[in-house]
Amino acid sequence: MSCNNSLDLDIPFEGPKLVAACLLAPQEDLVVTLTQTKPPTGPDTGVWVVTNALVIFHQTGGFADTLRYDADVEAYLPDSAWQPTAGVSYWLEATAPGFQRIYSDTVLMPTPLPIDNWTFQDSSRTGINSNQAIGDIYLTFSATSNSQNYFYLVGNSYRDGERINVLKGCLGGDVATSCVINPDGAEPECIFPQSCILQTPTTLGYWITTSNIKSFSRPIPPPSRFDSIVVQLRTVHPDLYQYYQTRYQPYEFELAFSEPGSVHSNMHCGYGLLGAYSESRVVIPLR
Amino acid sequence: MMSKKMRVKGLALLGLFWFSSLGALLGQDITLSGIVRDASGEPVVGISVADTLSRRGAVTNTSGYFSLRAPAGAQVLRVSHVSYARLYVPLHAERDSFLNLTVEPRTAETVTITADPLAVKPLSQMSVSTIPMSVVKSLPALMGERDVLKALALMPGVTTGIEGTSGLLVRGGSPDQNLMLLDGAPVYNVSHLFGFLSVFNPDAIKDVALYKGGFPARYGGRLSSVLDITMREGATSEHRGEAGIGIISSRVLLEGPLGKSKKGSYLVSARSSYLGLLLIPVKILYAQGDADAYYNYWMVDFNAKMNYQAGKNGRISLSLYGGNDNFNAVDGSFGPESRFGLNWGNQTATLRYTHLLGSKWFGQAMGIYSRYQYQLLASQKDSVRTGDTTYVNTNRVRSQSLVADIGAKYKLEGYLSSSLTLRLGAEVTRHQFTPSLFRIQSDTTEDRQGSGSIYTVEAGAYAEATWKPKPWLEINGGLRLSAYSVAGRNYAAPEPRLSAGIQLPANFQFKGSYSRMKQYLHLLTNSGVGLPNDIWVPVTAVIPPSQSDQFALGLEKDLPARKLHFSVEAYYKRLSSLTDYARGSNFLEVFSADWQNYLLTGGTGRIRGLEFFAQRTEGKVSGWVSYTLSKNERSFAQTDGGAWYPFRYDRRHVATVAGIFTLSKHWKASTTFSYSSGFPVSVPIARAQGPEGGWTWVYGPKGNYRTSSYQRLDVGFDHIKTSKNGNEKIFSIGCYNTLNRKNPFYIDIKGSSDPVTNVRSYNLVQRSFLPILPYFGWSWKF
Repeated sequence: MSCNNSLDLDIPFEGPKLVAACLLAPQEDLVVTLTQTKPPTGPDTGVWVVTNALVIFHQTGGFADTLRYDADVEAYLPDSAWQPTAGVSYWLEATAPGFQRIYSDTVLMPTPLPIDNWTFQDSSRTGINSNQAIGDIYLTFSATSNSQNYFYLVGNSYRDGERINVLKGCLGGDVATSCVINPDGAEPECIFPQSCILQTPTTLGYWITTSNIKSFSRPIPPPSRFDSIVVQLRTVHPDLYQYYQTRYQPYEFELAFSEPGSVHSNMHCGYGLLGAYSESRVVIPLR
Repeated sequence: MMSKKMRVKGLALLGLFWFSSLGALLGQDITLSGIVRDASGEPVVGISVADTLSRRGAVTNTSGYFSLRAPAGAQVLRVSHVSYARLYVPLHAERDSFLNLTVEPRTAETVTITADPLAVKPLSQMSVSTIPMSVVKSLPALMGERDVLKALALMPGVTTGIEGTSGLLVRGGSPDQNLMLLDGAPVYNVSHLFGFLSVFNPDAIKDVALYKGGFPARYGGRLSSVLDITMREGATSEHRGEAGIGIISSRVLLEGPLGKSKKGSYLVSARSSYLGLLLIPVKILYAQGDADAYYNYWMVDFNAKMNYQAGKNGRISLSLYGGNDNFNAVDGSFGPESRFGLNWGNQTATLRYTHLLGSKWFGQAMGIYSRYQYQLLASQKDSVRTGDTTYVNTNRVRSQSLVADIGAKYKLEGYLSSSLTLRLGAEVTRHQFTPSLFRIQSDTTEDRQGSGSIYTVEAGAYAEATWKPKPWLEINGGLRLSAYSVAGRNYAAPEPRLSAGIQLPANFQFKGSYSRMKQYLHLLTNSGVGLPNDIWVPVTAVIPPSQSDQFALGLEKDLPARKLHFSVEAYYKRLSSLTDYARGSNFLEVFSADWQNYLLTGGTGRIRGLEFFAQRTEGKVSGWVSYTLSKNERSFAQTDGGAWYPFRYDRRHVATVAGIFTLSKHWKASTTFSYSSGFPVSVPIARAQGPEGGWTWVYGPKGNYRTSSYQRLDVGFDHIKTSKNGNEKIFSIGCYNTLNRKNPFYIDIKGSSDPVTNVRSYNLVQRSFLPILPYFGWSWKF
């Protein structure tokens, strides 16, 4: 009985604006992508990338670096290799002909939170693939009293230097479980604000599969244990945390059941994100 | 003009004395109380009983009970109601007396009787909509399924969310802000057939009252409205039945006296859809590989009520409701078979004991039970190839949600004098909420999680007085104290209520009211869409109770000679501590254990409205016209910097017309027209590349776009044939959405690629349901 009725009305377009994106992370080079917005309706013509912009990256204290456009990576890069420093604040701006100048909020590169100690134990759980072999990892850390911090605990398994798709997720601990978010509602990482930490020092558990994942429908090769597990405890800037909270957008029929919203932006006169995180990590050999 | 059919049965304790008494000489008042029943023995709710000599009156309560004070000596009671022939009862009572009165339905001959100028309507009562069931059964309906909620949606200040939904929006409130009571038990999900039909079977309903404001203290627990539905008790005179056949469902009702002494009665009714039977051929074709998909749908519900006299002054009754909907869809058009299933239903039970304490006090004790459960099942087959062998695996998702109440209530109604009525009561309910039980299984994963059950206790106590110090002034004041406990966290709040009415010259009445309401639970879903994915969650330590404060002023005028009633009401409602979805969240996420993360809290709302209503209650042409002008806004600190935005249920203009026309002795016609402004939606203002690649929508301020307006014209005709023994056979034919208007269901942006240039483009698309739908049906009594 349903039918569709295409509306002749175009949604008013506010005009093209610049969109900048940059994620500051340890051991990652500085890369700024600069694109433009497009009308929400109508033909999807034209290019996204803006190549003729002046992009300046600022560090508090007066240092500024003008970035150059690199056609190979379709992004703006510094002339020399450069990495962010914890405890230092950054912001960026961009101007291009035909566009309003955009600039970001100032973002403080977080200081990594050390992992005081960790434990690993081989395990299995009936609720997870009927006794699938997993490992339980418990990290202990001591967060400072800054309640504006956000943390992101993520783990990966490796074999022959290659990351393996595995099952993983948060275990209980000294963090209120009602505060933990999973980005997209799908990725099984743990993201939580410091205000949800119940006690200090804090112990938080994480589980991850340590060998081939079982199948319910077909025979599988004999279990083959992975080489190692890397667990990262990231300290995430609040803007990046808000981006994780908002990056999933409902589409098609989900729009009938949801309240759509934009992904988080900390750019002014345009859109985009200058995000930052730092991390501490442990490598757990499995062989 | 008294009909021969007018009867008085069992005038207990009374004869007619034509002597003046000493009491009358001294001006002493006595209490006349009793129960008014219809010819079948069914107690009649809301019927006016007035002494024409002293011009004092009362209105029957939900048990048909009334009590009024009158001077000792001669009295002439006039019993009147729009659906019944007027009854005059001459009396000569010297002392308190109890009466059993019987009224007859209004017939073609009595329909021209002029309206009763003495008819008693509570002067202080305002913002209440009532619809006689005879009117509900006369209006045209979707698929011919007459429905109480659809009829109420034609009243001022009331509308439905979007097309095909059964949740009511009352004065801008959301569907979860309505307390739906079926014989005192709350019903949590009122949708059958994805909301196209409500769970309330008109055959089994005696009385419907919708309170939109001016809430008496005896009601509490929701912010926006109380819908109090009373089930019929069953005929006490004889066994009889009624049946009906429609396009999508059939129904049957049986009722009659209990025992030889006829001290009680029973009523059983049931409805069932048979779409499933009609769809069996498609299922066979699918099994044979000649169809890509099939679906199946079953709906069933039943009502039962038994009552029996318990002692001299008591009556005990048990009412039950059970209903279930089951939908299954199987699709093999994309290769591997996928299945989708929904199952939901309510069960309620009410055990009630009513008793008279002397001639002035009426008591009622109730035990209630209510349960709503919802289950979603989805599965998708896929194949995995390992070596030379292909293995078929089934991925499954199963989600369940549940809310269950068990509670007790007690209330006392004291008719202390002709000018003072007192109501006292207390109630306590234990809620069990299980927001989500979730299980996912795929080829390589099996995950079970859920929120677990949360147990809460909600209690309330109230005192309410209706005082009429002057014939032209009536005041209803009361205080309700509500309390709530969850996991060691306790909330308590006073809820003051006040309403007053002033009788002005020329049959004008001026009224005003103030109500504060508290709500200790929330609905986590966009129920406006009508899907049954209702997840009820409690107030917690993190999510505080919501509150509403509503002020209303009204002016009413009656033109009895012309059988016309006019009213205009203005209201202002302020809401606080509201919850809403965070932008970007969707209903799938609220199944998870951390549902509290997906809510915004601390919101406020403001709703202003002006309602106009004109009604003709009797005659060969009857019906009403209503118009509502309103503005409905919300504000959350986390949304658009706290700016006010139009709420999703904002409808600037809503107008309805309902007409019932008696064309001849055998033919009756009816029509309804509904108009409402488009509803606000949020649409993107741009597309932008995301920080991690791909592109995302950029949205402007919330509610930055409005859908087109909603317009619907329905018409219906009934052919009525009455047999010699008085049983009716009715053949109905009609049409839903006669103008075949494509009304908005929701707005979407659809992407498509040009087959030649391969350029992708995006268009705003309005999804609509329910084109023109003719219907027919039969019903007959036996």
